[in-house]
Amino acid sequence: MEPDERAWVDGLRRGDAQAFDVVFAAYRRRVYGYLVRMTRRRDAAEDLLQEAFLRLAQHAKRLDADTRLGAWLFTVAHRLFVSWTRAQHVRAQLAGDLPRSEPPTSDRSPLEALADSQAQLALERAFGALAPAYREVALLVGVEGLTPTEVAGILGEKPDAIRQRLARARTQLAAALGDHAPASWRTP
Amino acid sequence: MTMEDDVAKLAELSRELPTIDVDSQSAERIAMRARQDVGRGPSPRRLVEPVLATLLVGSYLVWAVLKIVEALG
Repeated sequence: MEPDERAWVDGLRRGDAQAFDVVFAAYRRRVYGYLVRMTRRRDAAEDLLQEAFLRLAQHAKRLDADTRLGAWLFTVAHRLFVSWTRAQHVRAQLAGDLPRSEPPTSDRSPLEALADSQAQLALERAFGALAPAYREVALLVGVEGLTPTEVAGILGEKPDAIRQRLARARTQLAAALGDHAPASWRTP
Repeated sequence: MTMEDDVAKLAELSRELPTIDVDSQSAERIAMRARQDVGRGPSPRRLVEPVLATLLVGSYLVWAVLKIVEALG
């Protein structure tokens, strides 16, 4: 645990709003990036981001002194995403079993529009094409730099399951990227 | 291929992903909303639903027990 993070947790436990601001600034991009890439929707990701930080604020005084804020926030974000997905499924069923995802209205999703090169576009699409369970592990390990053990704790899964998902995510990403895969990925 | 290889390759690939951030106005709105709740605990409104459900179920159980007692008596 970083010394800064320990100070932030201490501040939160005292109900210090400035400590909250620092934590929000430090983690909002990471949590939002995870939520956008999981929901594939900016509006939903914003709502879930707000809910995640509301829960942190409301839970601040009950945090343990050794709380790892990244893991805590991603655990909440994961649970919010799971609830959101269930709600989407229910809504789709109530609407007469329409497809789960909205059909794309243009060639590029808002997420893909951020890509400023063909390689980035291919990469964003490859991540988007992964099944959510694989995408989630790939994002938490690859983008967020969490260890597979930490990810297992966040998702409430066994480390073996995470290891398998990592391997499958990597294989599927390599297949989806094709020529856009980094050179090191193409060598056996 | 070991798990360490998978982790290293995914990290290498992920560095190429574009950075995503919430727009500054939304970020400020979210921060301001959440800041008000720092250290306050969950809103009491969150308790309303479980309390109502408990009262409803409890009253139904009491009614059912009374009916059974009445039938037996």
